[in-house]
Amino acid sequence: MRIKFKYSMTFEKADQLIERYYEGLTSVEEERQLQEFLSQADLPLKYEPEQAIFGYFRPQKQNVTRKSFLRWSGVAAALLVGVFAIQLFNDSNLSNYAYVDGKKITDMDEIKLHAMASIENLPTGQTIVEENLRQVSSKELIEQQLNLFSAFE
Amino acid sequence: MRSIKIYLFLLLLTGFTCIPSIQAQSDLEIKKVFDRYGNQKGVVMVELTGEMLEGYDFSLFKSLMIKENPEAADYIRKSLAKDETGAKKVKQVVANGKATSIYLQLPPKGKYHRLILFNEANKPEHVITLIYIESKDDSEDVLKLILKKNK
Repeated sequence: MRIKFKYSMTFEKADQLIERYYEGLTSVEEERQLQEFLSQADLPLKYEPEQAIFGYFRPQKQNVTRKSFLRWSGVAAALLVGVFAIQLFNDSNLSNYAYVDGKKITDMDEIKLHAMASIENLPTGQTIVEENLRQVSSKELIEQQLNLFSAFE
Repeated sequence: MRSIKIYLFLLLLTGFTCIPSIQAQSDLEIKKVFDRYGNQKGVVMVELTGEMLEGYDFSLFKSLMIKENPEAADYIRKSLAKDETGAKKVKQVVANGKATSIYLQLPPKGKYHRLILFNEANKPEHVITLIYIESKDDSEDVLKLILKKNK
C-alpha cells in the first residue's frame, strides 16, 4: 500500500527549493511550486519564515487576528454607540428655554424677548466711560477738599 | 492590531470633540451661579443654543436677571474673581469700592470663544444681569456687536 504524502512536495524537495531560492537560482516554475507548498496549512514550524516571505501566515494566527479584530470591532461599536448616546443626551439638554420666577418657558418668542432684555440691561461703552468719569471726578473732588484741610495745618 | 487601535482612538477623539459645548462652561464658577439662582423667584434665566438670537451668531447664550438681591451680586463678584484667572478683563466699573460692571473675555475653549458680562444697576431698581456667551466668532467682535446694538 502506498501512503500518499500529505503535502504538495516532500520536505526534502521543499528544503532544496528554499535553499535554491535564497541563492537566487530558482526558476519561475520552481518558485510557483514553492509558493504552492508554502501556502498549505499545517506545515512544520520551520517553514514559518519562508511562509512570511511568501506572504502566508499560519492558520492559527489568522484565527487569532480575526478574533482580535472582531473583539476590537465590538469594543469600537459599543463605544461609538456610547458616544452618540452622550451626544444625544447633551443635544436634548441644549434646548432653548427660560425660567421666570422658577417657571419654565419654552415659547421661543418670549425666550428671545427675555434674552434681548438681558442684553439691553448691559451698559454701553458710552455709559461705562461716563460712569468712570464720574468716579474720577468724585475722587478729584475729595482730594481737593482734603487739600483744603491740609492748608490749615 | 495597531491599525484597529488607531481607528478606535480616532473614533473616540471625533466623538468627544463633538460634545464640547455644554462642557465649556462646566469649568467656570459662574455655572454655580446659574444653578443656584436660575429657578428662584424674582429671577429670569434664559438659555439659548445655536443661532436662535437674530443678528447674533452665538453657539450658547445664557443669561440671568436677578432683582432686588444684593447678596447675589456679592456671590457673583466672588465667582467672577475666580473665573478671572487667565481671562482678559475688557471693561470694569467700580462704584463705592465694588465692581458694578465686569466684562470678561475668557481664553477660548476648543473652537469656542467665551464671554462673561456682568452688570449691577441700582436705578430705577436693583437688577443684576449676568450673561455667558459662547461663540465661534472672536469674542471681541461679539462684544462690539452687543455694545453697538445696545445703544
